[in-house]
Amino acid sequence: MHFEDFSSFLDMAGYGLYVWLSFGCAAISLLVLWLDSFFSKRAMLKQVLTEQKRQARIKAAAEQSATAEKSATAQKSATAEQRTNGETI
Amino acid sequence: MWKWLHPYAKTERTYHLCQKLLPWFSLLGLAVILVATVWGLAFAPMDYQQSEAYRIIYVHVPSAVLSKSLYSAMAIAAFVGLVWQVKTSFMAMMALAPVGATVTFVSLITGAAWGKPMWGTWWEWDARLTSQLILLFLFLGVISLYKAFEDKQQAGKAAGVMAIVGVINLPIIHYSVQWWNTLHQGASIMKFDKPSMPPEMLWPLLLSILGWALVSGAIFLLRMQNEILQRELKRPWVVALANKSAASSEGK
Amino acid sequence: MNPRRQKRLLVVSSIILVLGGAIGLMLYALSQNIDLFYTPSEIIEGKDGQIPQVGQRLRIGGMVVPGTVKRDQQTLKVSFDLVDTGPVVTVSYQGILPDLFREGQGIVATGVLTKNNHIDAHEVLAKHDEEYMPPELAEKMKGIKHIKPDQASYGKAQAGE
Repeated sequence: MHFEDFSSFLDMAGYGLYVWLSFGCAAISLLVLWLDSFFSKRAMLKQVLTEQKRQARIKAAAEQSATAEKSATAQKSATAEQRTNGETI
Repeated sequence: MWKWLHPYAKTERTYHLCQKLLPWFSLLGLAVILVATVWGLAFAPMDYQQSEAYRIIYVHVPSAVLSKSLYSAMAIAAFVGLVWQVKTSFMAMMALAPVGATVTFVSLITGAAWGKPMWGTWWEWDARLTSQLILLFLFLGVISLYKAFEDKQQAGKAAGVMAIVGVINLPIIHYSVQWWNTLHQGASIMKFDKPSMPPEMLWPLLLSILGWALVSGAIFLLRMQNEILQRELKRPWVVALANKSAASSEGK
Repeated sequence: MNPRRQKRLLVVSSIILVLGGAIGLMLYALSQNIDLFYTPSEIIEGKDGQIPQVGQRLRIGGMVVPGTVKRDQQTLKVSFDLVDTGPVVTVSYQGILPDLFREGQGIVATGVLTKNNHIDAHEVLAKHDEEYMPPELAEKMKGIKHIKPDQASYGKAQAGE
């Protein structure tokens, strides 16, 4: 160990500000770059999943609407009837 | 054989290669950089002229060396992409550019923080400092030129041309301190004769360069994966991959 | 060649041409005046056949001649001689000197040439070489003792000699 105690290590013979500024800036820059890379990868994989889910939902909705088309039209006319009833009252 | 040549199979293979290499580069790089930094900061002897302030060398030199290596790598990727029309090599170019820009930025900031106490100024328009600043602008130029094009194939070509033309700056940076009289001193280790440093200062420096190279490599691998993903979000292998990684993170 | 390719070729080659031209011009300009400073012999004997005029703003880079640093006791005024290979130029300056300023050190000073061999500087920067070594080794090899910047006093060192 080159330094006698921790405070002289921090002081760096009076050049502490410059030394720690350099090392701090380097660490922060690399960390920010890494975090950006890491989180954008995660976000993209997540995006794939939501897109997949959306596609599945669209597909399911399409299937549902195909099978339930008749009942849906029946229901629609029923609600329309109800509404007109309500308005008259 | 057909599978090898198939363009999508190729990016998928590249992605998985990156995935395999990533933990090695990350862990080894982190370990080496930590050891080198602690060694350089706390154990290496002080300098007879600059006292403890010279310890900035343990971030300044690795970042400066890496900035030039990353630029060369980016230019080689651009060249391969332009000549052989390899799609993945433009992706490599764009994965390297932000890493290079960051490292160049660090070399400029640490240089300023070293220049202030030793030379008496944060910045001076001398040949070495100016050409290093131009290197940062080249990295940023490549990134923004690529982003300016809607058609990514064309964007790759334009940015690639710029990256290749910018190579001329590399020898200028290196020899600026010999061709002109500058405030910046000559090279300590990147020269043909003996390095101007005793081994107890040199070892942590070489180790820190290795650490920076590994960490830059790790970030490059990660960004390379991102470049691939970005272009192939709708491919079945990416969907399968997303499902797998979601399942494994839920399992934890 | 189809028109789209032709257009692309034109775009790419014009980019290369413009960039190449710009870089070429820049390099030409740089090779003319990228030198950060004059050396003392260039100031006295001229550089490329031109001797700097008195009253000209310029930069000088050279080594501080040991034993020539004169400090005013009351103010921050200081004067010293700079040398490279031949003639000597005197620099006077008022202000805080960088920590690396020592006798025998490389210095870059910006100022006005007041006589053909005298500069009034308003900025003094220190150059250092690419040699790094521990103080003990430097003392053994070069006989240089490390002086902490806050203890450094050039007046005293001179008196001691």
